[in-house]
Amino acid sequence: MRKAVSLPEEVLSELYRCFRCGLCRSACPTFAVKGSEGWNARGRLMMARYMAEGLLEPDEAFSDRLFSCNSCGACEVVCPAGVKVADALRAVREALLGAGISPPGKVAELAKAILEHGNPWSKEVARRPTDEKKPILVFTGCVASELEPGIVKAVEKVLEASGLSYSVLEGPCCGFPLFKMGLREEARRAAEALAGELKAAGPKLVITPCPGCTEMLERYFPALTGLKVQVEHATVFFRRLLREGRLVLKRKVELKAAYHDPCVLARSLGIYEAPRELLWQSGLVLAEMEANRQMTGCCGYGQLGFLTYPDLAEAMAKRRVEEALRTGADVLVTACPSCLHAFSEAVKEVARSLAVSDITEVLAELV
Amino acid sequence: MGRMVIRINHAPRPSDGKAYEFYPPWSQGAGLLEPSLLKALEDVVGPDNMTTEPVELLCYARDASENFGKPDVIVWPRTTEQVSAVLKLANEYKVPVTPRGAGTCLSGGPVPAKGGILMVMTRMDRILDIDVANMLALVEPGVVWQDLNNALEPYGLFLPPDPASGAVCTIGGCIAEDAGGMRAVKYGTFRDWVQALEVVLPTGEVIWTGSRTRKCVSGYDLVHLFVGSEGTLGVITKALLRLFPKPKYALVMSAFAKDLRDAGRAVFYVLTRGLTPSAAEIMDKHTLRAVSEFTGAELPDCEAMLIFEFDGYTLSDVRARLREAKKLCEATNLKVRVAESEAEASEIWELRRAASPALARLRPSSIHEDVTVPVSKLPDMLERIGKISREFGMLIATFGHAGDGNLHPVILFDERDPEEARRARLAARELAKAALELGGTLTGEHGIGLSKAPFFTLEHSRTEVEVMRAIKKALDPNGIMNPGKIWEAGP
Repeated sequence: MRKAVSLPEEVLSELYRCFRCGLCRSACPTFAVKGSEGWNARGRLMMARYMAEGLLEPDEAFSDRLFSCNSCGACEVVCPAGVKVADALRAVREALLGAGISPPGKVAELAKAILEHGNPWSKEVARRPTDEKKPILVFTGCVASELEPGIVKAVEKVLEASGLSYSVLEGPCCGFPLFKMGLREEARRAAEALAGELKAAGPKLVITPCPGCTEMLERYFPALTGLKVQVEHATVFFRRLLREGRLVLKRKVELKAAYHDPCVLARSLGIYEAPRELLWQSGLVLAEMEANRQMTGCCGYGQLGFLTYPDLAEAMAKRRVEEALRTGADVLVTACPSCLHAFSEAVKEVARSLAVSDITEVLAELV
Repeated sequence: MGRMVIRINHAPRPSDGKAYEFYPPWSQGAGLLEPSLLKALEDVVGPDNMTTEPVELLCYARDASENFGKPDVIVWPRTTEQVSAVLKLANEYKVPVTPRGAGTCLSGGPVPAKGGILMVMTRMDRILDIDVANMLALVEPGVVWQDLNNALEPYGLFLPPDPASGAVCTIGGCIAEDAGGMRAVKYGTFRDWVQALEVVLPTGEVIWTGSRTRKCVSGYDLVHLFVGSEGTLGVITKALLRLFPKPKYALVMSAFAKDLRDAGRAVFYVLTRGLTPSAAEIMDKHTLRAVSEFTGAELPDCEAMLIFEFDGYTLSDVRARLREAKKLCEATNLKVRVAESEAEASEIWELRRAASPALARLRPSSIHEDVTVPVSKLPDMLERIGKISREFGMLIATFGHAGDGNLHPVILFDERDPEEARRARLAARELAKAALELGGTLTGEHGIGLSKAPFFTLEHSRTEVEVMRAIKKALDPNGIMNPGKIWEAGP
């Protein structure tokens, strides 16, 4: 007995828009690792279509291919038909779950962890007590506070050097990965929990080093939680501080730096130049990677891919580090806690000589 | 918009003798392959280079055409020896083998029409040698076109034929389908750039044919028998390609015609005056309207837009040819815009590149045709396309390579409407007939594959087909190589 999963008309027409030209083969980072079409954007769109047509019963292999896409959007840049792949696949995942089909085990575990503990780590994590109300609130995001605390310290140091008064909120998880994976209801519940704390803190401006949190708060919070909050990614805020002269860099660091555009920061939020401006203000000489700006390659850790598909995520991170090495850079700089974590892990295996840093950490060294 | 749900019954059905329907009733797999064969295949290529996972089989059941055919097993060989061993096994078990590159084909060439083994060549992807002194490159079939051209760049060389799928398509696929592209008007198609091949014959024997020399009249020209043979005569495992010095300059101009005949005359003059454009593209008014809406570009009211590119090694030569072409176009009542900067040149190319996406937005489905006529018949063919479009009530927008008479009429429809899908197929047949009546061919660069197999005998006499069949029989006695293609009009 086949379970037919129905898709809304607007999603179907998006799937049908793909005429299978295959140009996404040049862009899709999971395809680059796996090497077979089912892990490519074209394959995923085809599978979704077969599912709607009753030719394919969703099974584990199908779900893995569908959920392992971390919505990096590289395929959309090269797609001549302009298919909105990430949104379409999110809708397909939503439909799949809506039809009562369970998500892959690791995805379900992640959702459970976030809803139970407010973080993806399946354990209670001590959070700093919320400070008194301040106009600026630093929302750290889960990855920075647990795995890359250096970023949090760096952000604080820069703010202090700029003479700004701020408070810090270390959680709970904003729900971004769940939302992108199509677990809309779970994402909404996670978002609600955070929205409650944000309302209580009542800042004028939220700044975060995490592009995923930025996108979630800016784009999806109003619809999911009713909360409209002014949010800025740390790179944009720090650039403003520099331009207004409130942040002064006391020295410069003269190294050759490759800059990895985080996929969410770049393609989703359109922030390409702010981190580059911070780079040259720091004295770093930029060596562009082959795939940069719009064409940037995913680090693999986006959407918490390192928890759901660790082998794939690690292979993707290594590829990106190898690309950075080809630029001859001394340091690989990025602007996202997940990317930073990906590269910190990857260099241990493939490039011990390559330093890895978040742009906020670079700034913190120079204030 | 409400959550209107459309259920589609696309389950392939047995042939009922009617015209094409989506999906055409090709393979649902040849049936279960014998476990001993699967075991033997796994011994040859290793477990990591083989799969029978249903989702993967379905993802490899299609290319960029409307065709569908599910393989029973996919193998990714890594050496010539493995290809040979797989073909020997296929012969022993009498199981079809379909070679595939990146699967960007527009005619169903890599779609396993009768199931069996799908042999994906993408893991044989090494550039073995770049012989700068003789301007030759030896490559494996899975090398991506763009990767090869990137590798040639430092030597100031390039491989000229430029299929639109160059960013992803493989050299093996380009050779098997004799791919062309926009530069074909000056540089020809892959046929003109393949000098020698290593081929594994359907029986598993390996031959090397051709020469490292440009001139060679030593025996039958088997190289060019394999070029464009659409994977029906063997599997290409190495290719020795000719290269060319990369031009240093390229200048671009666009020209707008109020009358199709004027456009045809302009192309004629530019070509016959020996101005050797490296591209002479055309877009008709339907395409232009879509492009204008898609990009927001303001375009003059016209029947067709031409784009000419001239390339060369000195700026004065290129500029002189461009100026001459401008004069000729203006003399035939065309309104010319010369790109004065690189930015303006990319604006012009942007319009051409926008053709596919702009059209894709109009309707959910499309058939990309590939009819080709003698250059002098270009205006006639465009008029015939207009007539067929009106007759079948289908929107057909045309763009293509005016310089070599190779047009890509895109039939736009919704495949979920069986009646409209049927009319689309009928219109495609009429386009084929019209091209043949004008002395043209069914396909300039996409291949016959499955899509045009039903029309094949419209173009070729029985005797000619018999000769082709005899060649096929001599090389492939058990008929295992890519069956169902070219003259076998499907079930």
